[in-house]
Amino acid sequence: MRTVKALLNVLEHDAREETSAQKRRLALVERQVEAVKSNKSVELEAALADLEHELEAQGPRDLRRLQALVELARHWSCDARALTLGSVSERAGDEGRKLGSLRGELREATSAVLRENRRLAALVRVHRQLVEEVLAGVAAGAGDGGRLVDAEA
Amino acid sequence: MGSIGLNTGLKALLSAQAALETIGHNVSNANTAGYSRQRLDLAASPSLLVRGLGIGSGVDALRVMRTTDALIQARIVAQTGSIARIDARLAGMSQVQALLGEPGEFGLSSLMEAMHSSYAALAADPADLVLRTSAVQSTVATTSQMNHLATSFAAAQDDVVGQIRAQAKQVNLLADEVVRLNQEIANIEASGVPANDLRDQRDETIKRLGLYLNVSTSEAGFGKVMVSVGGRLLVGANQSYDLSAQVAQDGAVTLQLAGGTQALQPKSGSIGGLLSFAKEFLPHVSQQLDGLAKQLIFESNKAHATGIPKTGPFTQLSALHALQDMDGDGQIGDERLVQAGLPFDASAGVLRVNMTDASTGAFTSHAIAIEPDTTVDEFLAALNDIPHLSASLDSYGRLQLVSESGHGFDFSRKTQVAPDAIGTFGGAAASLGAQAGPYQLAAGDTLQLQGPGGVATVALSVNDFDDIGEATAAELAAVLNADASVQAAGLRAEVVGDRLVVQTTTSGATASFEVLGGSALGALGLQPGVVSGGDRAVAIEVSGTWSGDANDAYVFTPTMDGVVGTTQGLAVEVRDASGALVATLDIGAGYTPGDELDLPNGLKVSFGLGDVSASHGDAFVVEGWADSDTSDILAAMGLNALYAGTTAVDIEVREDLRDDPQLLAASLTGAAGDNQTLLELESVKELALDALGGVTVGEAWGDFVSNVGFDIQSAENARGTEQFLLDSLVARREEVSGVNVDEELVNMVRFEQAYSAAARYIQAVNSINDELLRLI
Repeated sequence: MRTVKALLNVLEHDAREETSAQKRRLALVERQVEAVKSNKSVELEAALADLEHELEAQGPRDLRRLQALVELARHWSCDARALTLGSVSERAGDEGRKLGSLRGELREATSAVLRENRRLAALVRVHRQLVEEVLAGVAAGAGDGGRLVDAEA
Repeated sequence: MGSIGLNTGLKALLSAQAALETIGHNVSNANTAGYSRQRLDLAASPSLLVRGLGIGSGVDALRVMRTTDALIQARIVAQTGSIARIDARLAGMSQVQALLGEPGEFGLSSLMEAMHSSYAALAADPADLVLRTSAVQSTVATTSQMNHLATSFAAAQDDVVGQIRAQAKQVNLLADEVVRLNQEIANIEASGVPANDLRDQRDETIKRLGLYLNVSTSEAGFGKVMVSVGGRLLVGANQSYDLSAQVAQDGAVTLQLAGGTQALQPKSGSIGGLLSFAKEFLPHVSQQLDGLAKQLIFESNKAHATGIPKTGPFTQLSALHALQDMDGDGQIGDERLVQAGLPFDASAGVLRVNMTDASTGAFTSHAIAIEPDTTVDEFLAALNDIPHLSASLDSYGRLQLVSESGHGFDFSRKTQVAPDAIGTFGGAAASLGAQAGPYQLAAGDTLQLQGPGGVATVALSVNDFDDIGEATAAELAAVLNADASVQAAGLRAEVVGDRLVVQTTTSGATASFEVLGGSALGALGLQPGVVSGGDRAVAIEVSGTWSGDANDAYVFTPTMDGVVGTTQGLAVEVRDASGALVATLDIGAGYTPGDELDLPNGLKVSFGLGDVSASHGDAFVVEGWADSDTSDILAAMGLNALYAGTTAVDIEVREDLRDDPQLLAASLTGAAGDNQTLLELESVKELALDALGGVTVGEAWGDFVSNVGFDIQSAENARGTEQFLLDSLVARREEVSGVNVDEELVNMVRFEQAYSAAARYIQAVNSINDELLRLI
């Protein structure tokens, strides 16, 4: 079994990686926002493809972190589900100080992604409804209801 | 053939000319608000059939297409309405925030803090008139700010109504404009020419309508549109319907469309925002402020009601709040006291009334039990049973209390300094105490006594008791004292705790009486025998202030017959109301008469020289009052209140107290330097109140202020999001205008698929990041 110090190193490394991933994720969400706003479907598709790759890398990181937490829980005779980066940092005392500051950065980056993602969700919802209405109108082929073309007459 | 060829050439020429005109029109209107770029829609002319052959006839300029996407336009109108709604709410909420003035010198937080500080300052020197005046003035400042806020909220409500009315007029003007444009468009298009510019004007007008209300449009034929609000028609095919605002007596605002029967409830637009502000936000903040004021009034009045002002016990008091005739039978007296329509809650409990002899300072305490079914008349009767006090209701139903000249009354928790005024513990009169009640008597039981004035024989009747098998000492004492033979015998009955005590009306060593017999003796724990008085009564004095959490009564009984400070082993047992032994006081050979002995809960007691007798049932009682009005009836009625009023609008310092700060109750006992009531008034700020969700008045106000700030912050965030969406729609509108329709459709299909994928990724990112945040 790895030592507490070794496990703390794993978690510190993981927090750095995760923060970088969150920053990349934020950039991809922002790209999607711009694509929707500027009416560029190709750009939106490209951003989504990149995001898919980004999310695929999440699984191994989660697993690595979980293993580290399970081992730490054994060291401290507690339930691994009760451990958070915050509680690990507190339990580890001075040795956990670095993890504590990395945790703050990660929280900030994660919250930023969530905020931008909420904006994107609102944007996509409005534009998606709009496009669906247009396409439904065109598909129905209504003479004066062809909203894009005939209704303008 | 020749004519066909010429005609084809002419059509081509005309089409080209129309195209040039359209382009010129676009250029000249490039900066016109709401203008949509136009393009020429060309089509091949129908073939002409010549001798069985279809021959092409050139090109026709079919119609000038408005390239505006009507759906985007509708969304922009809706989005603009959403922003206008938020803006209207934000303006109102910001006005409320400005009125609160927090944090600031004149904000309610600072004023309440200053008020409580002034109580603390006065507590240090309750006699100081300057500090007393300052305390009253700081209380007035607090109530004035509450009044100011409440009236300002009401004024804001009036302003909103004015704004809604003004905007309704604008809506009506715009609706008329749409009707006019509808008619003109129909006229022009009847000739086959699209009225594009007029349609743009109409779009712009509808967009402006959308600033006020959530409008939606539908085709009405002949190029006309109908405009509706929440499913109600504002503009029909040929006419508009007037919008008006009505204000109910309670201030509620409703919108009506002419011809409609139900109130209109716009969900967006500035009118929607103003209505939401007037119907939701303002009533909510007013309600919060009122709730806070009500709790401050009630809790402070509870503390103040049992205090004693610098001027001493009262000779008269008037309640501020009237009892109500709830059942409408014209009588208030038959109402249940705790449900008699008072603005504050009263409950079953006990009210203590102290009557003080102004010349001696001695006082007697009277406890009035208030049960859930106690009527107003019964309460008045109980008050009127107190010697030297009269109680009545004025014509409004407000309680009036008046004491006889030379007497005063109060509701304080002061402790009896001389608790054995009637001499039942080593007193000078011949005195015999029965065992503690209740007594298991039976109808026809008798008691025969030989007093200084003769023999008294008392026969007991079931009519004299609620339950003769559980007769109380008070009931039995009443029977004895009402009996003529007992009076003639020179005897009287007293109650000490729950014990009956029989005494001679005269004192001294020659005073005596004899228990002759009777069937009631066994139940009373008495034996036949002679009881004598003494020349010297034991002087008992109690000092200190009761610090117990609950009301209690200590019963003192000697352990043996003996002389205070002389008899070896003589002690006094002290038991609480439940009968538990709480102290045993050594007053035997080692005790110096007059020395103070400690009792639990902050009291001390001293015994003077004299004889005490366990065999004759000597006993006395000291009452400890933690709350002299457990029913809260004083605060509910507004007796000896600090505050008048019931809400933030009418809260004020009691008028006579404002004029004479000496009436501010500082003391619980009336003793010089006693500041207990002031400390309790100050501690109102520390009380966690259920009615305020378990927080203090100050915390509730802090929450209220921060909630207003939070609401504003949330609205600003929402506005940012709505503006972001509007910007994206406007950008889209610009993209769509004039593009190739087929290309745009292909793009839209791709977008539709991309949006579906994006929605899934949005959910995935949310889920992953939520999980991450939980782990962090």
